[in-house]
Amino acid sequence: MDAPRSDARAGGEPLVAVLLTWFLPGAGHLYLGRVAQGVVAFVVVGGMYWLGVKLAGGMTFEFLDPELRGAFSVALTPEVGNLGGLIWQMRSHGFGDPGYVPHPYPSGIWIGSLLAALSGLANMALMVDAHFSARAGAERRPGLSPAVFVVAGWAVPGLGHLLQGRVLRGVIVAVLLIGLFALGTVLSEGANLSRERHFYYWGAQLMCGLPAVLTEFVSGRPPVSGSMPYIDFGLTFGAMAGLLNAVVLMDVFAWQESKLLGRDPVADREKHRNRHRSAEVEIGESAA
Amino acid sequence: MIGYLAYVVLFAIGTLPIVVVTSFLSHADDRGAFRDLPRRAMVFVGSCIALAAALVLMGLYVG
Repeated sequence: MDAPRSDARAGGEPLVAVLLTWFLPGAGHLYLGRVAQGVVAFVVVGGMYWLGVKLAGGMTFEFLDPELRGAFSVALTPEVGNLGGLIWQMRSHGFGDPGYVPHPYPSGIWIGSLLAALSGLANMALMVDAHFSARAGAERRPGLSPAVFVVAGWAVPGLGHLLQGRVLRGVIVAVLLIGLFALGTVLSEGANLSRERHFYYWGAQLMCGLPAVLTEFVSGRPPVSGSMPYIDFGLTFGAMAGLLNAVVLMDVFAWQESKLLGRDPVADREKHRNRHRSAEVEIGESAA
Repeated sequence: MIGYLAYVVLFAIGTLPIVVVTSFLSHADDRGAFRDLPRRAMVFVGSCIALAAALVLMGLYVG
């Protein structure tokens, strides 16, 4: 017999809302009955992807070396957050020129490539909002969606915490992650800023938000001028700054989620950790 | 020698944000997160040393 449907999910199933949004920006919000948000999300996020592909002439994935091109090689790009857009791009443009004949990129490829990637990240924020809205339902307290704080924390590492009033944590995150990205850029002498040169590292680094985006466009992606003894560290640090910011955003999300559900964020996290520990003990005991 | 020292310093710099951020994710309160830092740092550095030693030994004796 099916479990009774709780009031908390009266708005819709969270998984359905997320999957709809993943395939079509705004569709999850339409499913949840939030028509205006769904339409705006579709126009803005879908439009960003379309404009990005047009500006880049559909050539963004030509940045990938031919031997790296495969069925799943775009699964690690930020664009995968907007799966519908990515499928459309792959069907209409694929990896670009199949003959690998050298030809110039269009002048808009950098901004176009960035727009499509940002569309993927923006759609992930929409997925976060759709999932939480469906899950919280009638239990939701007044307050800004966790997705708002997640977007702020993406834009400037630490800003999500600052907006939540967690000043010390926000400052530490900002200093550590922006500092790590800056050090990575210095060690790699700016080589990390070019998506063409370091395709996947660039994708990870984009999670560091505006510091990464602005540095790329202000520097104009400097050319390689000589040997770079610490480039491995530089690329790793840049990518680490972005990936660690993704971990930070989970903390930001969890705090706001607990608040909006009327729970104590500290006790909530403690409960999660204890549950995790007892699961580990159970696994250890069963293995023994 | 300077090169090896630089690698150790860069490793230490990379360790700091990893340990701090994961501690923040594990503890919603700042005090709990800071209290857990030394243990996390030791586990992380110890694990990296063990992994590096295993890789070096494999490089010497396997294949």
